Amino acid sequence: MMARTISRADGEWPHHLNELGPERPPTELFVQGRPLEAGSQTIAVVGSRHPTSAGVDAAKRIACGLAEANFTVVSGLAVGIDAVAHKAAIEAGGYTIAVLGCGLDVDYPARNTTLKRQIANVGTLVTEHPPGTPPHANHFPQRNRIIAGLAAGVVYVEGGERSGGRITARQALDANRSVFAVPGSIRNPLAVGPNELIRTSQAVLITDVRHIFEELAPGLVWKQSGATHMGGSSIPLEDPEYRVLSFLDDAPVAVDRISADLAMPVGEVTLTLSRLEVRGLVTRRPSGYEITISGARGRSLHRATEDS
Amino acid sequence: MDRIDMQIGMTRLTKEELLGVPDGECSHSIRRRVQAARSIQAERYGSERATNASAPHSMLKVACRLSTAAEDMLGNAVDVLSLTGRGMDRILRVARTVADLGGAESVEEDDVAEALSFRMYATREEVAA
Repeated sequence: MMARTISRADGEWPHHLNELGPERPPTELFVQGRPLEAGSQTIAVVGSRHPTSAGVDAAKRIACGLAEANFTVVSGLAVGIDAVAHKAAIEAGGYTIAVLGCGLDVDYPARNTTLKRQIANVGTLVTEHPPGTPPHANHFPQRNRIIAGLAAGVVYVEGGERSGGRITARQALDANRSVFAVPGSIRNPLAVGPNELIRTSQAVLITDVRHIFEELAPGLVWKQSGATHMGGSSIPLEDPEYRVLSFLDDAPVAVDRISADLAMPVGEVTLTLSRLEVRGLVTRRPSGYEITISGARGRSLHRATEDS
Repeated sequence: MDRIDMQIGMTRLTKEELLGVPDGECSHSIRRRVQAARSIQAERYGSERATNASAPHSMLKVACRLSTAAEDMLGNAVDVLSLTGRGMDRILRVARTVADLGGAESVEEDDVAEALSFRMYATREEVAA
């Protein structure tokens, strides 16, 4: 799709950005893809470039939940949490904005070139740098302020003490945005960033996407669009499959434990898990099996049909 | 690691389990089952030492005839788990062996499922692209 330049006078200009203060908003933006739409239903998801699998999972869940509730997911197209958030939003059929720290025609990071093209098709690429600008290190804190400026709130998933996510969170606070942080174990060095923001009351602790909605519009009941998103295509689950799926969590569980707790022979558990894995409902980790997003969705749909 | 056919996860045993009476099948009966499976394979490939693991690729297709359900499952596995050619080959050989141990003629869905559960773990954590 055509790249274009927009300035404050243009209809496409996100007025939200002006809230960054008199001097800090960019004067023009280079944009590619769908018309840029950002506002009260735009949430940034940011975090480490080298996340743990728990961080990846959290980012996926949150971005997917946001997209399903028709929220826009904005991030910085970096590897790690950024890429996970963009992808999850796209996979959930949502709209996503990627803010770059270089020119639109510069493929950085190279690993995300395919994702970048995808966003140019179904989402929007944004940068304040003219074509050909290489990705300088000092562009990234600048880029982060645009991410914060475009969003009504920033979700910080994982990051160390001095991470870019923390800078984005700081800038979001300066721009009067809500900051949300996903807490983590005190043994996880990448949880230091989010945990510290929570400890100092700069961020609201969230463990579920619904906490974001509640914070932004307290008292409002957010309808889960999950069922419509699935298009009613419920996943048929046989009894052992549902039992095993119900037992799983987002931390890996060993086959022996599933077997012992469900009183199901190890062989049957193993076969059931293989069947579920082949359908993309669980994933295998060195220490056991964990449920995937589709698995969790299938499980709740199954539960819903059982109940009705 | 790439050439290892099977891998299974084990959890640490508790001291009660370690000190307690061993249960499960005794090695003797397992040995008999393995010998039976071995002779099926020797007969199939026409050589005393031939096994499903060592059989030439060309014989595999005939030897590992899959039921329709088994074939569907393997097809799904190739898609969802991004199995490579070698990976699929390995699943076939292990599934054939599982069926042989059960004395079964054809390879069924459950045999493929079991073979899949023995496959190599991803060595790299699944991280963003």
